[in-house]
Amino acid sequence: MSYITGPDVVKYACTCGLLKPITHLYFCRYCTQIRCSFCVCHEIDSNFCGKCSENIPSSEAKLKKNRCGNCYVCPSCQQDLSTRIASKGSANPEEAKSTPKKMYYLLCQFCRWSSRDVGIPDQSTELLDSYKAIILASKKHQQDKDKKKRVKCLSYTDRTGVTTAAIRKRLGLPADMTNPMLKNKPKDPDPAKAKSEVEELPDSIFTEPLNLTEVMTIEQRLLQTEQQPTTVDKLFPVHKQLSIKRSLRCRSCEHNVSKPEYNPSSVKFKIQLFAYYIIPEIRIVTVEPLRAGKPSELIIKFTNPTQHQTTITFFELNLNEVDSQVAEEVAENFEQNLYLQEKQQLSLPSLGSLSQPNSLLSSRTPSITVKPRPIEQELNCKVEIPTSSFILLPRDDAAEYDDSGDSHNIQDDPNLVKWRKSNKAFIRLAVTPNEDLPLNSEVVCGFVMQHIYTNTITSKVENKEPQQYNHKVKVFLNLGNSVGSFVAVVSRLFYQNNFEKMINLGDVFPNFSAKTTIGDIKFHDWLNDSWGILFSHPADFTPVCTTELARLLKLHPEFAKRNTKVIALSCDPVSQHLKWSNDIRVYAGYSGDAFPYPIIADEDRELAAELHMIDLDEKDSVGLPLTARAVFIIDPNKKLRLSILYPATTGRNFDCVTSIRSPHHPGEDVMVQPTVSDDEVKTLFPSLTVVAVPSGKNYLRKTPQP
Amino acid sequence: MFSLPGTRRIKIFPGALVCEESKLRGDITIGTGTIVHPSAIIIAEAGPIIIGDWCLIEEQVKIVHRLPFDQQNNENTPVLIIGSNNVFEVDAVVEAPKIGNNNVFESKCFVGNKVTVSNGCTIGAGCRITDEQILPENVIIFGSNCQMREGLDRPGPQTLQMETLAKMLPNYHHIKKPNMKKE
Ligand SMILES: [Zn+2]
Ligand SMILES: [Zn+2]
Ligand SMILES: [Zn+2]
Ligand SMILES: [Zn+2]
Repeated sequence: MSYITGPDVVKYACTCGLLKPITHLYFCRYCTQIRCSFCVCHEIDSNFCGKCSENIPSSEAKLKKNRCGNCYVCPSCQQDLSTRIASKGSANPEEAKSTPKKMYYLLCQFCRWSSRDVGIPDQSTELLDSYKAIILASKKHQQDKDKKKRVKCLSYTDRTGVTTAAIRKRLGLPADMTNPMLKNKPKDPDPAKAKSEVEELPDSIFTEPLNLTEVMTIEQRLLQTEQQPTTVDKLFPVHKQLSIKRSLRCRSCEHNVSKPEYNPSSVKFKIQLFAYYIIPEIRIVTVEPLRAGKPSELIIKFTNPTQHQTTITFFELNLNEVDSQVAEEVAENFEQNLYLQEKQQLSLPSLGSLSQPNSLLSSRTPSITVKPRPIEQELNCKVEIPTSSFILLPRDDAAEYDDSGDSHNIQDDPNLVKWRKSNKAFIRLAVTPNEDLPLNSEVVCGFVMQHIYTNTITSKVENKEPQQYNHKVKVFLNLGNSVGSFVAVVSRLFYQNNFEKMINLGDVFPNFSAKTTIGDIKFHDWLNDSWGILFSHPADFTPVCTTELARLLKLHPEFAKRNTKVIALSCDPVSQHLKWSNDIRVYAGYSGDAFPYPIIADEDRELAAELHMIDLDEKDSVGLPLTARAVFIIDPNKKLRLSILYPATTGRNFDCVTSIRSPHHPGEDVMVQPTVSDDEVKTLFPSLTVVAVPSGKNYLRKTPQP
Repeated sequence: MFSLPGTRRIKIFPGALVCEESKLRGDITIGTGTIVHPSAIIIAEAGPIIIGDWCLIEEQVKIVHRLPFDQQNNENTPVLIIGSNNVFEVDAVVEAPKIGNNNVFESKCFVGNKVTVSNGCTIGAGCRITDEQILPENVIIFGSNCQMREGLDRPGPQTLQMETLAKMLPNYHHIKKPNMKKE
């Protein structure tokens, strides 16, 4: 999850004033407010053992010190131990005919530690059976005893449910009273005193070599808190610690925002009001280098997680205004608290009796509303608030697989909405860091996002139209560090949307997952133990890229010989890649059936941003930045060994005639840029040949080298 | 695709089950009872590989006999001898220059070409061992930090699994014919 949603550069303000990423927030649909883990009540729903999936009542869990009575964990590696059966022939050779006894021992499947390692003899079921019988007998005995007791003496407590302690409290006597009959009070132990002298270390510690395999690790020692032995021959199995299921309750309305299913083997929720499912998610796509007092273009992506269309409107975020709001809310809360107190005082005498109502109240403590605090985040960057709002379409899972193109018919403000597809929209905002901002300081901007929250639950119950609310969220975006004018030029090329450092040579290459022409892949798995070459190109159906990829196609057997896998990447969708790869095959004269290397479709530019190869100078037809030409070479240990990044403009930023890319081999035909029109081409290059490719686009035009 | 020039140098003893779809390159000898799954890769690059009896080599396993980077001369070719009763689980990559008997290489583990494996060792799933060392007998390596502990005994042989495979594999895969006689 941290990979998919991180890094946390976009934060939403919780009602309580804390800033958290959207994945850490809840949304109470009764209050229509955001809640975070800090401003909800955490309640233990149930205790269960993760291994045997047994529910254990909380009282029993307490008795068993929150451990399962039947399951053990490995003292060596803390994984679950499994019980193994070893059949053992009878020790007496005369009774060889009798069935072999079943013997049990514990084994860790992970590190192969077994109870035999520390000399615990294998256990037979005989002992277990006899113990079970004893337990059963004692239970029965206890029951009989209880019955007799009940008949003989009925204590006051039994009849009324009021304990002596409660009565004492009621009468105003000290609760803890020593029995006058109990004269010999237990003596308090002498308090421990710190010594300045410490026992000397034994000589053996300095002379004997240390065998690490015989010494316990700190984790292993801490698992056996009582003994804390130091050598591995004292590793004994430990009862497995219980897990809990936890429900979260909104403090102001007492409704659950998260409640798991009771069954321990289920991982589902009965109630899951996660903000991630309700509030549109914002991610930073790109931002131009930020310089104090200079406007920069910021592109952010909005994703609608709900099944309902929503409209996003921007408002200015004024932190001072927020403060006054907070003050109001605090006052409101204060009144509420007063009201609650009054209610309690009123209700107490009316209920009258002794400990019963008290205990009732204590079991459901009136929830304490967390007072909202002012947001402790300084804004040092102005956002130009767009006057127009935009529509975000509902989520449609099927649309992911629909390549037929966008069928929506929405009149967008072209200055605001850069691009949209299904429930996603790329929005352009202008941001200006403050004039007095020092170099290299973190730039934070913020705005209020208003979206329409559709409450479907009430409508289901009352058969009404779903209710719609305008919900406002304060959003804070961390845009990275401000740069000076010189750095700006350099960083322009590899500017990235997050603050992780560039991947350095020798660093482990990110294990991203991506859509490719061979389906979804996970990079490290795909690489397996080969060397890998990842290279990106700005766009499909462009001449230089086609020659490059065709060249690669010809070289592919050489790479394969050297145990090297090749993968390409651009921002075009898979369907485009597939069409284009056909062109490349024809162009390269490749005879194999399948295209030998995959091409990644990075439509959202997420991967390109992660690998810092977005080129802000190159934009596609809708103005979204393209990937730069980058080459990464990754070794079998998944470490980056080489990275070359050069702008797509290199060698091409000349006028039409000189915009001829030199071929890979001198003497071979050269490509003519698509920017040269067909008429111009005829006059400039009379001996031009157009290479016919299946897509029918005449973008491959060759001429002999001048 | 698999009929590489080295194919003829592959010696298979009777009783061994070597699937046709496995990739074997170079001088490789496979002992009695050893099972080589389809898509297992064994590459004898630096010198011959001799695999003992009753070894189990599962899918996607890669056994590579590679010369260390510091001695790239092919003059005296060392032989990689893999003992008997070794189990190579799915996707294990082993480049060790010497392997004893009764070892288990769990799934997706990696053993570099400077590691000598003795007998009865277990290399846990996903563990990567690359530093130069000789693994002592019955050592168990496990966990993400490659923690090491000494085992009580050798890991048990996978007899049941091998018996089942010996029955099942010939039904679904072409098996390379043994070309050696019993010693
Ligand atoms: Zn909160
Ligand atoms: Zn249990
Ligand atoms: Zn263990
Ligand atoms: Zn609420």
